[in-house]
Amino acid sequence: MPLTTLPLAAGIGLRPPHLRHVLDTRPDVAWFEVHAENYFGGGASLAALEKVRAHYPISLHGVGLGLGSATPLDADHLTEWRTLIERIEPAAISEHLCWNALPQEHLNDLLPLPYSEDALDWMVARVEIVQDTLGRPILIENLSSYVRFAVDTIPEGEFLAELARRSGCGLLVDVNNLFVNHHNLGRDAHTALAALPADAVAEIHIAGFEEREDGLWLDSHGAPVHVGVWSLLDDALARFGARPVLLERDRNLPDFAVLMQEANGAQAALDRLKVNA
Amino acid sequence: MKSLAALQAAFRDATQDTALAPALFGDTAAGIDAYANNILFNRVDALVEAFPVTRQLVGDAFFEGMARAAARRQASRSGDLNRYGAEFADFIAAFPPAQSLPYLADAARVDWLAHRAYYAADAAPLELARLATLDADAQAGLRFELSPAVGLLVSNWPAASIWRAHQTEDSPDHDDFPSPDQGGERVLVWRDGRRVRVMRLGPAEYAFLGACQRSQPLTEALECALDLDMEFDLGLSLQRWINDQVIVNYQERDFT
Repeated sequence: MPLTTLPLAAGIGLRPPHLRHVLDTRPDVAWFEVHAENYFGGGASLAALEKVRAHYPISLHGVGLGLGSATPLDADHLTEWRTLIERIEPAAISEHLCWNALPQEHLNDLLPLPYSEDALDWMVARVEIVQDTLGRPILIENLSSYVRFAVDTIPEGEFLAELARRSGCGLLVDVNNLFVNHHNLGRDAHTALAALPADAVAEIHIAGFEEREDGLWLDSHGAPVHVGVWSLLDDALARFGARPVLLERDRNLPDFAVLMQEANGAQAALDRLKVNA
Repeated sequence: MKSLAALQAAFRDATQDTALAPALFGDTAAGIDAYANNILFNRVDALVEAFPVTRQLVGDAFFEGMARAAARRQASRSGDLNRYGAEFADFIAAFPPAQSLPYLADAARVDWLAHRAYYAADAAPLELARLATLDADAQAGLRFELSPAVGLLVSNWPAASIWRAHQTEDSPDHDDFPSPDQGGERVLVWRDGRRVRVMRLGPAEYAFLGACQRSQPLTEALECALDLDMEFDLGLSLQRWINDQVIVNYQERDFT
């Protein structure tokens, strides 16, 4: 099975407040991505997503599996994933390079892993379990981070490249996260891009961040895409070639038309690539 | 060097005591409080989503204060935040600032059942005609199965009426606000197709559905109902609950 069958075009992260609008007006958007956990179970939300799926390719993006947690994988969570995949037949599935749980409690956030040989071995094993259980490859997204473990021994780009090489997973490159990490942690975004194998990169994310009073950049998905991220998107497309590009927005959600306009910027970047080729 | 599990435990400890952060994260330690904040407010946001009637009863500011206090004390057990909040009503019942609203915890219990009903797995409706094909003996041994969306609650307060008073006027379940002192209610929460519904039940109806929920056979469930109300109309009740997708399946008697 290919890493993704998404169109090489701009898509939009579809959040529940916009579902009705999308079903009523059928906007000209190439594809949508949704958070998988919002459609676990059944009922009205899943029924609405099935209607969206009848007209658009869908990417299912998980935020709750906590692949890197040093705890057993949650079998119920994986079962919900499998059921949802059967119902929606998504064009891509993805999760994060992160952890989220201790033996006694879930922390329900995308928490950064140490970049060590230990953590890499663990992630490879876990991605393999998930891919075996779901019967298809998964894309793993690089994280935005506010701390860096002092014990790190592997650069971020190499960690992701090695994870993809050893597990066969694809990579979802979030250029906003690279941009935020460059600022917060001094990790060079272009060095990371250069380390990633183009044939494993199956999707790109763009989003907005906000600046905290002390200068830390918070990956809030609550603001328009920063001009520096647009520029990094051009660099990423030049390096990897045309890829499905997704605009994510989770907080301060504007009207859908505003998101469409912003996503047009990503389509323009893809179109420029064709002209320059 | 510390194991991955030890590093993750240390990470969590550092979110609770930032003095521990520099040893783990060196010159990037200042970022740890962003995680402390995320972990707390992701839970608070989940409670805001799941308990809309409770929030309307106390107002946004009070609710968020109460939700923060609960989120600090009640751990999350799932990577799916839609499952966070199962114990929030118990927290409210023991939360001193909420004692002036003694019905608040039960209002939260109905909110929780409605929230879980919204996300419950789909279940195909049962066709009444299927039941009619069974002979009397087979019918007596049936065990009815309730939809995964069904929740039952006994409250000393008018908990169903309070929930219904907070629905929009075009909802099939809209009621005027009850007097909190008008007496207790038995509550049925379920999903009628895609819509979450909340109804008051009579004692016999509640006893019957409760017995079904405990997988008791029809004869025993009926006995529970008739003990409370000799007028309990089985045929009519079954027809309604099957049509409304409260009862969605049955198992025939197991003779093995």
